[in-house]
Formats: sequence, C-alpha cells, structure tokens
Amino acid sequence: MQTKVAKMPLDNRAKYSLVSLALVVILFALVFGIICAHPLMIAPEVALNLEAAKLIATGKIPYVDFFCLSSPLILYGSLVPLLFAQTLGVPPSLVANLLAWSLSLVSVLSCAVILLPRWHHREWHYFPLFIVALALANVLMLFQLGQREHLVMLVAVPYFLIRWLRWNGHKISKKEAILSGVFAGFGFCLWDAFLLMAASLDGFWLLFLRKIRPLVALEVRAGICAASICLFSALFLPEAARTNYLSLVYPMLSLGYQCHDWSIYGSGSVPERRDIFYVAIAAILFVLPFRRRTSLAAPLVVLFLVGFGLYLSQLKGLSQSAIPMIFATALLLSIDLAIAGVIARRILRIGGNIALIAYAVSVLLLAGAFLKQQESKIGRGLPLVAEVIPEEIARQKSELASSSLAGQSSTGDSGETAEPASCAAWLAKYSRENDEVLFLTDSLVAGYPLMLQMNRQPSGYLLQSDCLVELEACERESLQPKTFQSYAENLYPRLERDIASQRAKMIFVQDVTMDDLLKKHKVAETLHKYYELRGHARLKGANAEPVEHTGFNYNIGVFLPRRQHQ
Amino acid sequence: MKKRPLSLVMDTSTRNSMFVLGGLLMLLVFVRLLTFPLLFPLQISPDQSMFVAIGELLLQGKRLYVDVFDVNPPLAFYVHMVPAVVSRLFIIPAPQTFGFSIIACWLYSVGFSLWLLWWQSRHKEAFLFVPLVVSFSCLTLWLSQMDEFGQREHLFLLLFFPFFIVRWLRWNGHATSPKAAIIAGSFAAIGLFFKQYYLGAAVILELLWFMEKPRWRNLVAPETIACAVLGVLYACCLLAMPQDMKDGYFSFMVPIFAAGYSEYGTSIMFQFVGWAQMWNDRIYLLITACALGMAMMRYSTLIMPLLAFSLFGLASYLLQGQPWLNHALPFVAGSYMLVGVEAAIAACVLRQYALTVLRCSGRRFDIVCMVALVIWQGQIAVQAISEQMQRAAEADKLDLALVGYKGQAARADSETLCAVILRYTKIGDPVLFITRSIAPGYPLLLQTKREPASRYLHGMLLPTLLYAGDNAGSELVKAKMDGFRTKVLADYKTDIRRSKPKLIMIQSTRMWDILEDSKFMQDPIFEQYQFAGVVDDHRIYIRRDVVTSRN
Repeated sequence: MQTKVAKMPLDNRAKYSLVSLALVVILFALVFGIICAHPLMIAPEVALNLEAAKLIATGKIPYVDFFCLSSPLILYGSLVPLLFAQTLGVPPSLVANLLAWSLSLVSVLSCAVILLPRWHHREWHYFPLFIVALALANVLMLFQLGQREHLVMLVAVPYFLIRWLRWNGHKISKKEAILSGVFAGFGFCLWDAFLLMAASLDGFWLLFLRKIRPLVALEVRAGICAASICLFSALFLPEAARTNYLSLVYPMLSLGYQCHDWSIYGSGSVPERRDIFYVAIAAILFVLPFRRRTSLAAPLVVLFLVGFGLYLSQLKGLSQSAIPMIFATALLLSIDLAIAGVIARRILRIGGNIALIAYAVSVLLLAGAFLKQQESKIGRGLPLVAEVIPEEIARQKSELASSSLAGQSSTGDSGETAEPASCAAWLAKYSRENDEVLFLTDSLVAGYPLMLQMNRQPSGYLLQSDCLVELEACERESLQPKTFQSYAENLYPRLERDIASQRAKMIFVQDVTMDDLLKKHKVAETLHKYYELRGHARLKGANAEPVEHTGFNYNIGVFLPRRQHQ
Repeated sequence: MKKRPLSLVMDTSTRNSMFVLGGLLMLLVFVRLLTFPLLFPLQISPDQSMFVAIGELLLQGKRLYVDVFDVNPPLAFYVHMVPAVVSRLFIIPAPQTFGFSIIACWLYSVGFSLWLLWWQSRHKEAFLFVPLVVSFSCLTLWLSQMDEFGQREHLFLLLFFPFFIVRWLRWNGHATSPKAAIIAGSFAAIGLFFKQYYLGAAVILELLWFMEKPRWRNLVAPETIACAVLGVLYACCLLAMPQDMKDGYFSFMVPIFAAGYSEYGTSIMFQFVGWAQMWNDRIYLLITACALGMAMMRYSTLIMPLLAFSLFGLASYLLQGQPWLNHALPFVAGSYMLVGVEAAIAACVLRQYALTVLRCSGRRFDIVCMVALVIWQGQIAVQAISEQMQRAAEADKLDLALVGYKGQAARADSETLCAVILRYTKIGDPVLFITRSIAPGYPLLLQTKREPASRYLHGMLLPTLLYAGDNAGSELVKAKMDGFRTKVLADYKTDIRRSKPKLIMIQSTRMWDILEDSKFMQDPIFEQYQFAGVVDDHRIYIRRDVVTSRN
C-alpha cells in the first residue's frame, strides 16, 4: 500500500504508550465503579439470556421447553455469569456486567499488546489514540454491555488489527494469529451476519492490495477451525432443540427482519441515532484527503459502512444495532485526531514533553467530554433500570394503592384520567419472588430486565413475545406467508395451553398490538376465561436509552387469575 | 509497498469509440425522456406544479411573500418562470413545458459536460468520462417515471454537474477555457442558491480538494468567481427586497417552518426504510458504492469527491428529517455516479485481461462490446417507449379545450376532484384548496388552468403552526405561533371575501379538525357556500349562486 508516512517525531514512544494505558485504566476504573454502584443495571437482551440460562440450569431444553430468539451459543454462554452469580450469591446482572467489563478490558489490552510494541511501525503515532478510542467506544456502550453486538466487536477489533497488519505485510506471531483467529471464530458464531464484516474487509484489502495469500493466513484458518468447532458442537444439542432452532428460530430471524414495522414510522421509541451518522460522516470526510497518510482509515470506513448495512438490515434502529458503527466511528475519530495532532504539531512547532502533556490533557478532556455526555444518559437511564428497585418500587406501590386503576375495573371514569403505574409496581404488589409471570408485549423491554431484577420467573413457552408481532408482519408482507402461518399455528396453541394452565401469577398484555393478535388467534377467550383485567401499566421513559423499545407505547393490560379473587 | 498502480490509460481510438457510444446512449435517453411529456402533456407532480404556478403568478405581477406564500427562498420561484413563459409563448400546457424545460436542462448538463471532457481527451482518466456522464443521466431517466422529476434537488444536480466537472479538472491540473468555466459557474450558482443545504456540498468538496492539494490559486478560478459574484448579487437582491416581502419571508415563513418543520419528520429508521423497498435499495446502493469506492480510490481521482458528495447528501437527507425522495436525490446521484465510475474501472481491468486472453485487437473488441451495449439499451428503450404509448392509448382522455388548449390528453391526477373543478368552474376562476399538503390542489389547479383563491397555495402552514405551538420551547414562542395561526386563518377569510371562489375544498383528515377547532367555518362568509359532500377525503363547498345556476 502506498502510504505517505507522516513525519511526526515521537520523542518517546514508551511514554506515549504509558500515558495511553493509564487513560485506559482510568476509564475502565470509572466504569467499574458505575457497574458496582448499580448492580441491577443490565441490558434487556442480556437479561433475557440470563433468564434462559436459569431455565437451562434447571434442565430445560432451549426452543423445546421455552422459546427465545437468541442463538444456542449465547444461551449456553450465559450459564457462565449465572453460575458464578449463584455460587457467589450476587445478582447475575452484576456478574454479567463485570464479565462484559473484563472482556472489554482484555480486548482493549490485547489490541494494545498487538499495536504498541511495534515501535518501528511507520503508523505507530496513530496507535496510542486508537487504544484510548477503543476504550472509549466500550464506555459509550454503558447500557449495552454484554449485548451480542458488543461481544462480537470485542473479538472483532483485535482480529481486524491482525488482518490489517497481515495484509500490509507486517510480521505476525503465531500466537497472535491463532488467538485472534480463534476468538474471532467463536465471536462471529454469536451472530453469523457479522461474518459479512470480516468478508467485506478482506474483500476490500483484496481489491486494494491485489494479493491473495493473506486470504488463507493462519488467523483465518484458526477462525474457521473455531467456527467449525462451534458448529460441530451444535450437534451435541438435544435433537429437538436443534430441529426447532433450524426450522423455527433461524428462519424467523433471517426472514422476520425483512418485514416492515410501522411502529418505527414517527415514534421516538428508540433513541435517534442521527448523531452517529453526522459524526461518522464528518470523520470520513475529514480523513478522505489524508487517506494516503494512513492505511488504517480506509478499512475503518468500510467497517462503518458494513455496520450501517447491518443496522439497516435489522429495521429497528436499536442502540445495540448501532454498536459496530459506534466502534468504527470512535476509531476513525482517533485517526482524525492523530492527523490533526500531527498538523497542529507541525504548525505550532512543539515537541518533546510538551507534546506528550498536550496529548494527555487533550485526550483526558476529550474522554471527559464523552463521559459528561454519558452522564446525562446515566442520570436519566439508571433510575429506570436499576434504581427502580427497591426504593422506587416502594413509592410506586403506594401510588398504585391510591390509583383508581388498582383493584378496580379499568373502565371507570377516574381510571381514564389517572396515569397508569409501572409494571414494576404491579409486580411488587401482586407477586412474590420466584412467581411465574407472563409478558405479552411487542417489545422485549416491558418484561426485561424487570423480571431478572425483581427475581420473577418467565412463565410458559414464550420467553419473549415480540416474535408474535414479527410473525404477523411477516405473514402480511412476506413472500412466504404460509411458512409464517405455520409458525403461528405452532406458537399460539402453545401460548393458549400455557395460559390455561394458570401457572402465571400475572399476565401483562399490551393493548392494541398484542391484544388484537390474541383476539385474532382466539387466545383472548382463554385469557379472559382464566384471568381478569385488573388495570393498566405503562412503560415509563420508553423513548430513551436504556429502556428503548421497538414497538408502540400503548398501555399494558394487567391480568390476574380469576380464582385468586373469587 | 512498491506496487505499480494499474494502468488505465486508454488509446485514442478507444476514447473516440467511447464518446460515440456515449452520444448514442445519450440519444436513447433523450428519446425516452421526450416520450413522457409528449404522451402525457398534463402530467406533473405536486411540488413542481406549484412552483410553475407561482412562476405564472409572478408573471401576472403578484409579489412573493405578500400575494403568494411558500417557505422556499425566492430564486426557486423566479427560475420556474421559464416554463410559464414558454407555455404562454407557444400556447402549450404548462406541465408539458415544464417537462421540456427539465429535458433542456438535462441536455445542457450532459451535453456541456461531455463537451468539456472532450477537450480533455489526453486525460489519463478519460476512460471514466462517458461512464460518469451516462451514470449521471441514469438518475434523470429513473426520475422521469417518478414524482421527483424536476424537483429542485434534481435541478440542482443538473446545474451543478458541469461545475463539478470543471472543478475536478481544475484541481487535477486540467484547466478549461475561462468562458466555459464562467458558464458552468453561473448555472451552478442558480442550482446552489436554490436550496441552501447544497451550498454546503460545494464548500465541502472545495475544502477536501484543498486539504489534499493546498493550492490557493485553484480556489480563485473563473467559475468560482462567477458563482460567488452571482451569490453576492442574489444576497443583495434579498436585502433589497421591499420591506413587506422581507417581512413575509424572514419574519413569517422562516420562523414558522424553523419551529414546525418537524411536523413532517419521521424516525431515522423510517427515513432509511421509507415507503417502499426502493428506499432501502438506494441506501444499500450507497453503502456498496462507498465501500467499493474506498477500495478503488487509488484508480481514480473522481472517487474521493463523489464519495464525499454522496455522504454529504446522506447527511443532508437525515438533517431534513423526512422520508421524502427528493431530499435523497443528491446521495442517490452520488451513488449512481460512483457505481458508474467503479463499473468503468472494473470493465477496464476486465478488458485488459480479456485482451490478453483472447489476443485480439483492442479496437475490434471495443466495437463489439459497444455495439452489443447499444443494441441492448436500444431494445430496452423501444420496449419502454412502447409501454408508455400503450398506457397513453389506454388512458381515459380529457378534451384539452376544457383547459384552453387543442386536442386530447390522458386524464389528469385525482380524476374525481378534477371533474368537480371542471364542472363548476371556468378557466381562470379562483378555486380554494385548504389541504395538509401541496397535493391535490397542485397539480390540479395548474392542469385545469384555474387560479388559487388565496395567497396560501396550500394549507401546510396550519398543521405546521399547530405543531410549532405545541412544541414551543417557551410561552413567548407559543404565543407567537398562535398569533401566526390566527393571522393565517384571518387571511384565508379575507382572501375568500376578495376572490369569492366558486369552489372551496377542505381536506377532511386533520385539516377539517383544525378549522373546526378554530371555529373557522362559523364565519358568515360561509353562509354563501353550500356543502356538496365529500370527494376523495375533501369536503366540497360550492358557492350558492353557482349551484343555482348549474341547477
């Protein structure tokens, strides 16, 4: 690659490395503090996976005894934090977060190990900032720690660096190649769509550098081996689980996302991610004229574009889908800043320790600005997912007691005007720990992470019910409506049997979206036969992180068993 | 790494053949473009028809932002006087002249660009010239079947394209003649000042080129001077506008739309997904074109500016906040051109391999490929034209005498409302539409040659004001917006009293509720009108004397 070497005199590369690592440590220490201060904070999907892991730990078989859309690898992987939590007697959310935090730290440090010791690399002056940016990208994901996309990015970045070095003709040790390849292979198995990212980057380098040999390098072979082991281990899944996953979950995931969801039209139900696009476009535009100075920028732009494609393909706009874009943008910004730094040094004619201090201070200020920006999210978000329990619940419980909706029919006049209480308050009042609860909502968020935080058990087959809305959309819009119809014919009778069994102490049914579906599939009759509508709950603060949801923010009907009140 | 860049220099005969090929393909596009206005002389889309109608009103001596209101800056309206003048001169329907004007604009854009490039035949990237122009023309061809043909963004692109070529050549050390540069700069200025968003595109491109090769002299070239001078002149004209016009624009329209434009906004994901698969496809095309562009950037100096233009187009699309295709046109055009350039590079590489493998002469190979391409495209063009002709033959016909012309034409949009207008009014009669969007008032009024009965050509202001009031950051802003709403409603009543329209059509969805809440319909003026029913979601009110005379 014909890269123009930036002639930035780096007075002391060891000092730059140390300062950068110190910044990384500070950032991770701050995040560690936040995680420990809020042990119940957890991303919805991670909470769902932990609930599924709990069921697996009790001997239940995924996709046979319970249904969720997560892959088997992540379900069984979630057993690790769960078993740790059970052994140590701490909340699983805390262990899951700490595990994700540790993996993030390992990922950042391995990138540092890959890059920083290469003193003689002509693009070394980008590396310190790159490492800090990578750490920041993890901090920006405070509410998404441990999400599938986050985990994949953690293994993807070291692999990306190894591939970049390999394609550009640098020496890679066997250890580096095998480790990065193996982890990437396992990581990409978490979500096969991410293979597109690796393939696109290799395609990019192939077109750009016109070499073939790196395509079969050691890390690629190691990755393929690891992925094959993963696939091979799927053979050890129970036969029924494997069949159900391949015949129901996987097709639903791959076809379901193609269906149009009108709830995304005008609702602010997910955080608007325009800022990522503006920042990314600005970062790309800045780097374009300097593209000859670094061979790192172009693949990062490709990484962003592939991330954009994956974000788009999911049709939801959730924060977690934006993680690859956020990583690519943060890393690209680090390149931009390094270029700007070189230009500034040249213009201002500064060097030596002054430059080092300027570097440390500016990076610290920048990281501070990022954290400040996060602070607003933390301030807004934490009371919703973490601190809602137990202080908030006590308050909401009293609100619920005085609310006209509690213990009365929802059709009363006063009930029309009163603001419905939260799901947490209803759960606290009408259920106890380990009780079974069923959430039928068009988004994961209403039930998760609440059930994990309040230690309630998911009832019946459906751990997540948003798939029912997906199915409906697919039935309506897909080219294979009959396939989806058969899935519906499989799921609804099972749901009906679960309701009829009356094991759930409470059932939450979202108005309009789920309510209509239950009526259409004749499950509503069974529901009303065994359960009584006691009032309504509302998803509070659903328009912002972390309680973002993809559906409509309608009220949620709360049903209690009839026999309990007769 | 010491790898020689792939040689992409073309020999003279291939370059000449490519220009011949380009000419033939352009001819096919031209014929296809002409078919539509010839077969459907009344067909025009809402936004464009309103602009032409305002151009016509300006010719009648009406004043912008006093007698006629819309949020766009004045230049866009004055430019649309051209089709209105042509329509008057040649007595042909204004929608048809609009179509011809856009085709003329396209001819200028691609013809002038090809002419500019022809003189650079020794350029080492000459093999990209024709694919670039052809892929750019594909946008116009694609749009000719859609509502966005002739939108301001489309016009901007057509006027900006030759300027882009001139600038690219200049930054790469290939100067064009000063006269050509001034022409390109002058037309580009019109496009750039149409819509302030796209001025940013030109500035960013200049910045990027400058950052790449910091040569101050390139910034001060004939085309940039012409563009800047016209910009300054335009700014002076804005400042010299009579006070009432300035008030109408800067103190009334701009604050309203600045505060309430989000009324028409959607979530970012819907902006990407849009109303049909086509939206999604365009974004994927952009992503693919940009990713390939990053990989092929070393082969052409065109890729960097095109990539920047496309990404800037995406940012401006997101910034505007609506899933409207016209806002997407800059990035769609950028990705089309990128694909064209990338395909040309790929074709050139493949050609070299093919020549090595087949061991035949390059000239013969080129001729075979080009003839095959022209035959293939010709076949597609013939098929498309036959389909259009069949559609026109099968369509219900409208006697053009009803709208002041000779002959027959395929029926206009919103047939039912059109029938109502034709039944109760004559050419030149004022008709009032109070609707949430520009349609269906426009294009119907332009197609039927009726006059707008109010200074507000559409009712978009009312929901916008309502939204702005509801979402106002302070009581002061809310009071201001409420005051504007009262003014708009009062203006409507004044206009009805003044022009006494024979027909008033009020959109039932949303607009009727807004008017009911404001007790608008309780004004005594409406005693002169009789409610005649609901047609296509519009409540129809007919002046009582017209009903009596019709009976």
